[in-house]
Amino acid sequence: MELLRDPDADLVAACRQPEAEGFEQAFEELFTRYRERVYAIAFRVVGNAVDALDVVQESFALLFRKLHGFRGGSLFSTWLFRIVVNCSIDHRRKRDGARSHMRNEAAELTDLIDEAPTPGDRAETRELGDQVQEAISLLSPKLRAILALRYLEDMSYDELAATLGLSLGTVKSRLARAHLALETVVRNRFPHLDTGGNVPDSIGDVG
Amino acid sequence: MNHDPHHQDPVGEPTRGGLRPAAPAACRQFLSDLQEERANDHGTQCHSCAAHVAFQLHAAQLLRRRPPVPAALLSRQILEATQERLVASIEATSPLQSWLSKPAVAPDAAAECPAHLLASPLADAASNSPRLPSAEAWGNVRQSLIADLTTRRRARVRMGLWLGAAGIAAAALVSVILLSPQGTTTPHTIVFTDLDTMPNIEFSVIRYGALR
Repeated sequence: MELLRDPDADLVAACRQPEAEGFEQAFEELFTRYRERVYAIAFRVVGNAVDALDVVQESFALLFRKLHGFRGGSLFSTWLFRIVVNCSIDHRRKRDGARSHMRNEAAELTDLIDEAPTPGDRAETRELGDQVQEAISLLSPKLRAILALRYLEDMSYDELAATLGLSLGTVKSRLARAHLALETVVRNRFPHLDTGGNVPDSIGDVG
Repeated sequence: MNHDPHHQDPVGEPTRGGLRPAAPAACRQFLSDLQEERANDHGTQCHSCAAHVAFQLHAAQLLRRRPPVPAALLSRQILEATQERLVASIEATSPLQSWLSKPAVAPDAAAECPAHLLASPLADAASNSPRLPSAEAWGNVRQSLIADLTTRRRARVRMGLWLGAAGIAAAALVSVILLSPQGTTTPHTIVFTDLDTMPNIEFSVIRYGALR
């Protein structure tokens, strides 16, 4: 069996040596490489940009603190996304538990956020994206997380199982529940997002 | 969404217990095959299942849309904020940091140091008292010290002798210089004579000219 080399192995090795010259460059390189993917997953779970940015910082800070514990049993990205999911779910729980406190923290982060649209961020896309996000936000954090990993990262069932630390059966069950829950939410709250009953010819490319 | 009025929705709203038990076996099998990505033509016969498939296809497209990236995420600030948070978390939780923040000059500093910081062999060796050397070793050390002191004392005596001799020689030289006669020792004789004839002695002319 041929073992694939982790594309991040060199950067991870450099980040394990804080006393070495290349540490800061490797830190920045890893951050730059993954920040948008991490942000997208966090955004799906926590539901807004302020909290998602906070999760990005928290995830990378935690990542570099725990990097010595990463044994390379999986891809670095798999390990990273597990941290991001856990951070996102924790963040959401804390926020739900202490909303007023989180409002203050969010206010502190406001100056980091530029709500102006990026060049490719057209208004109609944003509106649709907001509605999709709003629908997803009505699911539980665990269902949001598995949908985010499945569709934003195109993860297979095996990859989902490795990332979330679940059995294959639990992954399938949770993904099925996420689909059904989302379908219910969309039918009830966002009927215009529904397909209108267009029935596909095949099921080959269904997520 | 088209629903078959004579056909109960096999999934409906999800419950904590899972799918409704009344879902037909064919629909459950179809949904299972859907998860496994196996072909099943039940979807072409059952409107409800077909609707689920259609929704999943559409939802997949929506879910693949990535949220817009805020400019803050691409800025240098967030990297620095992350680094600051990393430092803060280390400072807040590191036992070493808390130990270092205490006053350094404590008589029982080793006792205040967290045990796991002393877990290394080096720290263990540094913090434990060393074994006392044997009497023979102490004897050797004593002999070595005495020999060293003796050598130094002899050297000091030798140096003293040399300095004494040099001092005596210097004093003698100074004495010779000071006591040596300054000029002639015989008394001068003053002779008044006519310079027409040279006297048969060493002389000096102190006055030249006619006598007054």
